[in-house]
Amino acid sequence: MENKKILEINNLDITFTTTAGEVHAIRGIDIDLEKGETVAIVGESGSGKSVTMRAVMGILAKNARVNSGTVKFHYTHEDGSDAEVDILTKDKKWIRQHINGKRIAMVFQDPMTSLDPTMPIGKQIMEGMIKHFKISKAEAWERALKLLNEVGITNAEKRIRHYPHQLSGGMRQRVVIAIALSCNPDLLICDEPTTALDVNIQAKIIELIKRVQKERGISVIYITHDLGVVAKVADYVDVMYAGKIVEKGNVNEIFYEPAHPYTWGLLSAMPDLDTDDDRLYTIPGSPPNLLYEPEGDAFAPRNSYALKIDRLKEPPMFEISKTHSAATWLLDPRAPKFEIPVEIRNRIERMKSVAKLEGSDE
Amino acid sequence: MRKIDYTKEPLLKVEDLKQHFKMNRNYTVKAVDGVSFSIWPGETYGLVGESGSGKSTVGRSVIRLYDPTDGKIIFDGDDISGKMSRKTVEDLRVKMQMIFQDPMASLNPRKNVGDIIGEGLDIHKSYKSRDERTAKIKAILKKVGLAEEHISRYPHQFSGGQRQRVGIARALIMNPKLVIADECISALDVSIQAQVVNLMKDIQEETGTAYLFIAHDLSMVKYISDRIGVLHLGHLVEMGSKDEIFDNPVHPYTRSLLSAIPTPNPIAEKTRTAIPYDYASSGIDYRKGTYHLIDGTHYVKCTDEELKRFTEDKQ
Amino acid sequence: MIFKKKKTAAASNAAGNVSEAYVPVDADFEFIEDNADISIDSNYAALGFWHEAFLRFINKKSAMIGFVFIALITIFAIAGPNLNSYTYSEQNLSEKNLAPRIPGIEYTGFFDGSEVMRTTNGFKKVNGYFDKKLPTTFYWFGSDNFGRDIWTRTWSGARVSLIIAVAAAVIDMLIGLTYGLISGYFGGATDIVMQRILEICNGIPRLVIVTLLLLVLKPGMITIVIALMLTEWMSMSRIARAEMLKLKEREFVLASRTLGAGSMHIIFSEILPNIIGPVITQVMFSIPTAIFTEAFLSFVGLGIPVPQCSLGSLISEGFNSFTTHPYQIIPPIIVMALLMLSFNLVADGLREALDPKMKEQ
Repeated sequence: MENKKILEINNLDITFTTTAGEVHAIRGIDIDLEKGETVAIVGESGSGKSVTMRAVMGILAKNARVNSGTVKFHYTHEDGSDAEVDILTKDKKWIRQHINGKRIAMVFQDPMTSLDPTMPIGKQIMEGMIKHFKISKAEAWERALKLLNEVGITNAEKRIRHYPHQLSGGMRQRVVIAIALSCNPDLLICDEPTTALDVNIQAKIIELIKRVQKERGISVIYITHDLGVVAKVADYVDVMYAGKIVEKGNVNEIFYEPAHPYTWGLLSAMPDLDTDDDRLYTIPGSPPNLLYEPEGDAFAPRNSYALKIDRLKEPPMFEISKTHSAATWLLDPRAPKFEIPVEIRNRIERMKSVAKLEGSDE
Repeated sequence: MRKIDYTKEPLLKVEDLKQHFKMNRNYTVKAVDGVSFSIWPGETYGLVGESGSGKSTVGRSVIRLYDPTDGKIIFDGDDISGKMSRKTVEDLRVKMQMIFQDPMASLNPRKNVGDIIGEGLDIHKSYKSRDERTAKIKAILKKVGLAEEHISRYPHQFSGGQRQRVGIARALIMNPKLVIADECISALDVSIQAQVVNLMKDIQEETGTAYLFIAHDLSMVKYISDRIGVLHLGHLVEMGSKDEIFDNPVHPYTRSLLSAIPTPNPIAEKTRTAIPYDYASSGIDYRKGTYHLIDGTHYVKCTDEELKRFTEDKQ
Repeated sequence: MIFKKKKTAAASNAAGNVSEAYVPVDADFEFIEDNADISIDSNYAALGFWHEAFLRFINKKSAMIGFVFIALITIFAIAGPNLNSYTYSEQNLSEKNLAPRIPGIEYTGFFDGSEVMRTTNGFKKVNGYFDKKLPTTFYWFGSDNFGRDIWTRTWSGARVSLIIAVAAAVIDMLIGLTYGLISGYFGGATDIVMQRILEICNGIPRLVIVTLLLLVLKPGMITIVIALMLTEWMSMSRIARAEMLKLKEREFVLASRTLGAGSMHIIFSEILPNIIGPVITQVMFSIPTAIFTEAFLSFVGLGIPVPQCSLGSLISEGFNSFTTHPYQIIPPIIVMALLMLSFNLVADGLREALDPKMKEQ
């Protein structure tokens, strides 16, 4: 069953109409995901990562307009036959009945807003199962208990009757994950699942998602801006900037051989515990406002390695290896010689040496 | 490089600060329960802890947004913990400033940047003419990396990082001796966080102001701080210089916290697991603990038996 | 600048098409040495708050319709009474109870001065103008049973009603706002005392207050304004207090406090500008309430003294002859209904324009 594609996003392009004008939020995105894989979509707020996932879930806001592209989702019917749909062509009702919750489930950033405060958590977990599997209440109750145990909630018999406000932040996020898993989805989308949580709880939630993924063999998409989380969970990484993917590759390529100046900036902006440079290497300026269509490379105004061509023409994806590619003119054979910033070089060296040390321990 | 003279009198001395909030007749939240630390002129003191540890409360008590329940706060030679004289209040409001967490919420959406930054000048009447006021505001805008033209813009016309720069400018225009930075980067994007931290470092280099840097992101705290205090459930469980804390954490809570920091290093990260810590089941009672010196400036709050257990656990 | 405004999309599209076909030459592959514009970005300059609110308001159809009606009624209230030679108090008993007659339109069969009267032996069409031999007399909306021109009286009544309503609403706003802001900001004991006072005031029925007031003061416009003021400020103060409670713990208020700002500075220069949206909305909502209350008071005889009139007193008068001469009650009722509806529509539009978060995403 390996190498089976589950999700293919092709050339997705979305515009929002606002009072201030048209916002071209997604400008041609391709993402592939295979069964059992984890893809992390990394980018700053406003880079379009959440919008992309909303398109996959078919829950785009009313003022969104899809200009082009397909979102193909592959799944298996109950009778075992394979099916493929383009989610963008289906209406909301169909998606609600066949996709949402059942085959693609989502975990949101803030567990308090995604749980219903007026309903005990057990009932919230059972809801989806009763609707999608048409099973009895008693059976759903049993399954809910099992799920709560699976997501590491102790004393599940008691907790199942609790309301969300009676649980701690970490517990709530576990319940949200239990709800997401309740209908055996093939794909789990986690939208910043740990940003609202404390560091030590963060680590536990991520370990939980990883464990569940391994046990159930499902695919996971992480949306995050935290590279620490990415390093821990991802197989593949897509770096997004201003509605485009600027670099994609497997996790080692992105972390140890980053090719796009934006990725350099992201990597070094987060100090590791061994950083003793006096200054952090940063990306100047702020992300572009997509109300104003960028001409050439959207990143050029913030890029200290910008070439003249960046202002004239958008760079295509240059392939570095089979899995690794980046959209920057620096990779063009005609580009001048350049040295990557010393902070990044040191950082990568340091990471590699730590990684080797860790590796030899095993 | 900056040098901090630890033989001098500290700029801020907090002794056994307690901040309790009475919710109703029989329920009191002890947000801060006996915290002591000092900050010397020109240094950065990092205060870390999870949400609910009372770290923001410490900051707000020190700048007297709250009236402390008990304890002493000495700032620049004045006692600011109880009722203050008019002059002390005036001094405190000029010499101690604060940078807030949410750059959008901390700027009045109906005021332009010039008026937001100039508010302190207006309140303390620290200019002779309108021109002087404008000149001061423009100078500070430039210092925080914004352009002079930004003076007449409104907060919603800025990006998150720029807004936080405005917040920093508002604090700096009074030439404070101490700036309390309450989670001032946690609402920003990663690449913008680094910009803001760099800016704060540059300003410290230039003006010699001290920071109380409150955060939950340990790697950033390590990067910016000289000394660090670890706060848990309203108690300062461990404190010391950053090397002492990071190289030799003694308290199990600190060790758990350090082990949980995610690092952007996939190979190392995939094999790392966090050390769990649960106060309720750990058998540690923070209220009984006293400060034990480990070495240098490194203290741990615990009882004698607990300290013995901690050091044994480590081996 | 790298980022062009959308307005110039045509131009940039043209440029875009060029760059689509653009084949990079070697000279393009050079670093841009000049990085001066890196740190300054101007791409976040959005529209001002009021500008955006205005755009949202004019895009809302119902609010614009309401606005047009209010404007029309206001213009007629100002100019209407002067458009013909009658005055609102001039009686002409020989020309009483004439049906509407408008020059020009009379030939179409509508507004020709005739009305259908019910008599003991069936229906009968009568035309008072012919019966009384008044070929050159025109009462556009007819005349009442004192022979006064209903057109003139309707518009001067609308004028009185509008003045009372707007004055009452503005005064309510000032009192209610101050009361609510202070109560909310200081909190604690101050808040408890002020809220109890408010509850007591709220417990006394409006009719009792007005009747008592009329014992002391002469009936008239001022009295009605005071009566409305005494009863209407409470809803405004509740809104102001709620907004204050929401805003006073916000970080920008804390920031002001750490800078040493005094209470009055915080209340009036930090918080007040932020609640102006809900306040304006509430004023707009309280105007129709005031119009209705005034009409109600006039209707029960506690309002404007004769011969002055307001929409309420006109309706009351028209009501007496409603069965015989229905045209007398229709103009004031239509004007009042339109006014109340329009103010509600405008208030609703303003609420959405000033607080865009309310709108469904």
